[in-house]
Order: sequence, then C-alpha cells, then structure tokens
Amino acid sequence: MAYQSLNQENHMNGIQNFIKNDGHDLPDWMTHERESAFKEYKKVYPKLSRTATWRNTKLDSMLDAFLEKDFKNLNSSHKDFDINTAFEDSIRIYFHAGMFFCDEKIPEYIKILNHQYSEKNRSIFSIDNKSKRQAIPLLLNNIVSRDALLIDTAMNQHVQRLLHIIHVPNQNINVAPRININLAENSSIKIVEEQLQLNDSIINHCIDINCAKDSSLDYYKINHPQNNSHLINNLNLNQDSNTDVKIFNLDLGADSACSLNHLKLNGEDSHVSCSTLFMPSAKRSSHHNVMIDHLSDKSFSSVNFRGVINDHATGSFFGKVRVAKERRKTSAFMQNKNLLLSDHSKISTVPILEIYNDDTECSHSATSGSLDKEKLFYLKTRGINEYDAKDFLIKSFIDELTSQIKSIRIKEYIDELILSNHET
Amino acid sequence: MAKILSIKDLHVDVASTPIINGLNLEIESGETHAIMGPNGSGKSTLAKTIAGHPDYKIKSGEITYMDHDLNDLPIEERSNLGVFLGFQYPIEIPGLSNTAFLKAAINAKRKYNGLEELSASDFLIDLKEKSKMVEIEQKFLSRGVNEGFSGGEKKRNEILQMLMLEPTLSILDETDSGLDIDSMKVVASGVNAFRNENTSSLIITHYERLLNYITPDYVHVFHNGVIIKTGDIQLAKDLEKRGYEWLTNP
Repeated sequence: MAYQSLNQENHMNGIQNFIKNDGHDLPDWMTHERESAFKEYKKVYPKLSRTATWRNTKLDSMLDAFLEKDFKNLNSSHKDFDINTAFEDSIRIYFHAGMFFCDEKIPEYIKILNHQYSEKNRSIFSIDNKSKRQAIPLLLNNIVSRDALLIDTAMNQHVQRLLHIIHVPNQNINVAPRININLAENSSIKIVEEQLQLNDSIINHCIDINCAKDSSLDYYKINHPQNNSHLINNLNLNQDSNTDVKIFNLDLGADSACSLNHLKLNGEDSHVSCSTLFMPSAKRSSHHNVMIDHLSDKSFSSVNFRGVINDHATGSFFGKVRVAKERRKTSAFMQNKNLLLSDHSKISTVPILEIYNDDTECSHSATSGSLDKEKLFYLKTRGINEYDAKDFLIKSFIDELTSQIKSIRIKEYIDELILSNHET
Repeated sequence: MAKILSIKDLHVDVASTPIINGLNLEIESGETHAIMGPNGSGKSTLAKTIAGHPDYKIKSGEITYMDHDLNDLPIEERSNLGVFLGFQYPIEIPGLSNTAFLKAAINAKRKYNGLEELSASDFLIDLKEKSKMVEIEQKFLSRGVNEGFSGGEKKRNEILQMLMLEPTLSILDETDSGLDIDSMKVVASGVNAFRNENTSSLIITHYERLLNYITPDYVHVFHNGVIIKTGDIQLAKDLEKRGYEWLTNP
C-alpha cells in the first residue's frame, strides 16, 4: 500500500518552493543538481512508496514532517555548543546546520565542499549504481544538501589519527549530511561519526564508501538518543580486492530511525563485517535494511544486527545476501537477534539468502524473544536479585556484539554510552 | 545436630500435573543424603522446588530451611540464606564472564548478610585456590558463564560456584551425568572438601558410581514423587545390582 496520509501535491509543491527560495548562495551547478534530483524524485516516489522497504523503514513519518523544519539555521556557530565527547586527540570535523567545519588545519586527504565549491566534485551527488530502495532518501539528500565532506586517502597512506565527525546538537532543522570516502590502494583509516542529540529535526544522512584494493576501513556510527526527530542513514559501500571493512552502528533511538545499507563486494578476498545495535524505547521505531552483493569470488561478509526493544517501541530488520551464479568460494554469515523487554514491544525480522551456485558457504539466523526465564532462574539461584539478573542478561546480550570492537578506547566509549542510555 | 531442611507432606505440580505427592524428608547439619530413582520419579522436581523455580507449584505441604518457610521466599533469598542448587544442565550465558558472575553472586550474598563487599584481591585469591581444586583453568574464568565448556567442565564449574558461595545446603542434581571417571573424581573431591559438620548435601543421582566417591549417610529411593525406601550406601549397591523394579513394582 502506498503511504496515504501524505498529500503528494502539497509535498511536491513544497519541495519546488524550497528549491526556488533556498540556495541563492550556492553555485549554479548545485542548484541544477537539486532540480534534476527533484525531477527524478517525482518519477520514483509513486513507485517506491508502494514497496515493502518503504513500509518497513517508516520513511513516511519523515516525509510527513519534511517541509515543517528549517533547512538551514546558521544563527549560531558550532563553537557555541558544549561538545562533550571523547577522543580528544582525534581530527575533529563538525557538522552544524547543514555545513561541515574543522577548527584545525585540514589534512590534505580531507576536503570540505563549502570551503571552495567546485563543480569537479559534482559526481559525489550522483545516484548512479545506487540501490533503488535508497533512491528516495538519496534524492531528497541531493535536494536539501548544502555541503559535503570528502575523504580521499592517498596510495599507501595509513592515517594514524582517528577521524572524528561530530554532528553538533541542534533543533528544528532539516539537514542532509553527505560524506564521500575514497580509500586509495593500500591505505587505511579509522573513523568515528557521532550524531549528538538533535530535537525536532530530520537528518537524512548519506555516506558513500569506495575502497580500492588492499585498503582497510574501520567505521563507527553512533547515534545518540534523538527527541522528536527522524533519522535516516544511507550507506553505500564498494570494495575492491583484498579489502577489509568493519562497520559498527549504534542507534540509541529517534522517533523514527532507519538505516539502508548496500554493501558490494566487487573484488576477490574482500571482507566486510557490518554490525548494528539498536535500542529503541518509548514509542520510538528503529528499522534496518541491509543488502550484500557478493560480486566476486572468495568474498566474505558478516552481518550481525541486534535489537534491544523496550516499552512500546518497534523495530525491524530486513537483510538479503545475494551470491551471483559465477561467484564461487564466497562466505556469508547473517544474524539478527532481538530482545523484547516489554509485552508491548514489537519486532519484524526477515533474513534472506539468494544463492545461485553450490560453491559457497552461507548461513543466516534470526531470533526474537524476551529474557530467557531459565537464565534468570540460574542467576537468581546464585543470589542475584531480579533487577540485577535482568541487567546482566541485557548487558551480556549487548556485549556479545560490542566485544567484536577491536579498539579498546572506542569499545569503552560505546559501552559507556550504552550503559548511560540503559540506566535512563 | 541442627535441623537444616524439613519437608512435610509436600505436593508439587508442574504444568498442572502432580509430580511430588506427599513427600517427607528431614536433613540435619553435617548429613549427606542421596536420592535415587528411575526417570520421571520427581527427583529434579524436588531440587527445583527447593530452589524456587516458578514453574514448580507447591500445592500443599511445607519446606522449612533453618526455621525459614521456603515456600514464600524469593529464589535469590533462598540462595543468600545458604541454599545452593547444582544444575543438571548448567545454563550458558555468553557475554557475562564467569569471574564477573561469581563476584556479583558472592557480593549479593555478603550484602544480604550485612557484610562488606569482598575486595577484588581477596576474591581473586579465593577464586584461584578453588578453581584449582576443581581443575578449572584460569582462562576459562574470563569466558562467558559455561560458554564453550564441555559437559564435564560445566559440572566442575557448578562445584566451583558451590565452593565459592559456601552454602549450608547443597543440592546437586545429577552432577555425575555426562561425566567421565576422571571428572567425576574431581567433582567428588570438590564436594568432599566442602563436607563438614555445618554443611549438608542432597545428592540426586541415577547411579551408585558417584556414591562410591561421596559416601552418603542416607540413601532414599524416589518413586512417583515420594520416598519409598530409605537405607544406607548398601541400598545404592543393591539398586546397582537389581535395578529399581524390585522396589517400584514388587
């Protein structure tokens, strides 16, 4: 069923007016990008809003509020905010009111588009070769986006300092951060991207990652709890041969949060692991969609999504691994486990394998349920009270996932955030 | 000798099916009792009922532990008062390390009994000593509770927990099942090391072999949820030779 409550005509007129009135300070080529994105958006919206992906990811609630928010709010500087976060020794890039900033001399491998808008960067707004399911948020990102962050490592460059991208707290804003990471041959980088608290806002985040052969990336995305806000994370990954990418997402909740991930293993011996912990509570929702395409022999993927769903919150997981007919000796492992902490919490999980040859090793599993009564009994027989026993079981469920984080300080930081979120 | 456990005319249902049907049993301090019986006779039901499993419903009768009416006590309070259940099938809890689990359990008991938390160093000294007694390697202690443990290791871990918690009444539910002879000797020596005039044990088993290493003061034969015969170690030897039928179907 198509999303019914949205008045399509008003919605489209609103976007048209936005393009007309906003962006006088932007270069012409960006305005043209916006216009062509809108043209495409009008074509694809009626088709895609009828799909299961659309329903499962609750994009409708975001669209409902889409035109009610400010598109830029530069009355304050990112420096006005007290940024209380970790990794003091990292290179910090701030995203505030639609624009990226850096307080220190930016290393050569980082470029911020608004510093010098250049048409040669136009390709970062391309939606060619992107999954159809991501088309609507990607096109909307193109329409709203005012800036982009480009990270282009050089060949053989191994960046030692952690790159920390911080989305500054704000409210009543509609932002579309756009990040493009291109890792050159035999290069590596570690990135933590942190979405601090936004209130009454819409964040439509798009990240494109391209890894040339022999490169490696550790990417952590942390979403703090967002109040009365909608959060979309689009991630597109392309990996060449002998690459290693580790992705860890922590979603601590938004009114509606959704992630759309498309991971493409294009080269032999490419390895990707994609883990997500989502913890919606109250009446929030958290929806996750991951597609893995094994487009090369000997590629390996590991997908591990875990949900801890409380109160009246809802969650969903849709994961699909595709192994093409000619692609041999691939391994794919996909798991979704969910813990329902309330009688009113809900989860839907759909793990799918599409395998077209015999020479592959793939597995998938999904479990959903409340805390194990026998485990609770066991802990209580050792003198541990009900509250602490439940706490232990929730933490152990989470720790099974977070223990995969290799960096001790990042793990400690993530554990701390989870703990403080859990305690509230 | 002080009375540790007193069960009077106990009736227990599991999923509305009567399993224990008028059981009477008394255990005094320093005593070791063994309960033997065929499958489905209600042995494990008794163990879980004493520990307080919510699915095991006491329909009538009394369980008194050291002047406490157990029927209404929460599970953790029973444990903190000194009741320990060694599980037939120990539960795996990945993500919760054995060490963290044991420390939490010991400190919960200490807190309940008005004692200060055990210091980290005292805890680790105690843990090292006792894990050596049951031949559990240190590296196993940083793993999740029973995670990746073999059957024998799980049972030894149960005995380690018993040694660490120092209960007054230990109920060991088929601790010998799935154990090879070497593991059984280790388990038995751990249990024997803990036997003294102030502690009591209730050992549930199918076979005589464990009782060759832990000599009980009394052997009870369980059938249809009641004790049908009581004797000493000789009764266990007779059962080993003759089976249960001469008692259950004379």
